Amino acid sequence: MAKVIIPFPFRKHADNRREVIIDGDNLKESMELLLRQYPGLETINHDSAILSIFINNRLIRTGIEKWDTLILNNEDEIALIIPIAGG
Amino acid sequence: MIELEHINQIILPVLNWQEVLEHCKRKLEGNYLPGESRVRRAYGLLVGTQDEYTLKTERILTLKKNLRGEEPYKSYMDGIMEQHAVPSKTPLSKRGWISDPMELKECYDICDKDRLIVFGTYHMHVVPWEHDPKRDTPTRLDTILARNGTFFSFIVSMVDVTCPIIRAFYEGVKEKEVPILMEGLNHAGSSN
Repeated sequence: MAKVIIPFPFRKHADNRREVIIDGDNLKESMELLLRQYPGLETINHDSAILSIFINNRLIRTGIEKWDTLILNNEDEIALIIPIAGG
Repeated sequence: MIELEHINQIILPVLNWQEVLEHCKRKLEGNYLPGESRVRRAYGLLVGTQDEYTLKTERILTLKKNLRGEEPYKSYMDGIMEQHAVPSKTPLSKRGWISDPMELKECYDICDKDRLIVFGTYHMHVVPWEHDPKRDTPTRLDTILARNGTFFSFIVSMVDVTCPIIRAFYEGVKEKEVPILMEGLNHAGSSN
């Protein structure tokens, strides 16, 4: 069970919550459960190439580290960030 | 809480507007802060409070870093720009900006701590285009990059630095402009 911090732009897809407590033994499971609980958060996947995931403030190398090997503990905090961009 | 897409007015205190302007002017002059990307682009966040259909700006959070040239952001931006950017003299690889997720996370953390909401991003346009001499509206590229963001895109036109303009568009869509009420501006146009 871990705490997921929902980024500002996506809170409307999560009942305007800042954080959600979610089950899951690893990052992959937790993300799947999060999206199952809040399907609107699927929009995060539109920009999955640049989605940044932090676990306890450590940036996960999403393209390199396998999500199912990232074991989560009860006090862990996951933060999802989509960088903002412009032309 | 009323969703941001239904907002009908944004209050921007003149002091916050001056902060945005100073940021833009400093970058245009090539004066960079330590740790700041050395690019003539200025962008940041507008954060504040919401009272029903009105947003009030409380703080400007400037962003220092531009990861446009670093992977995986480079490939992402190259792909979008090739598809949507209007051709210009500046090569695509030198155009566009993308924030540092760590810096953005720090800004979000500050806002959560201070109970402020992040409701907008700003960036400047400096080069006049034949079909858009003022450049005070979002480009097609701005709209694409703002999609699903549920933020306002504030476009700062610095084409004429003596007469800067700021306008706000929900998710960077021209048809979704919301008026900005400049607070603290007297009738002569100067701050009081």
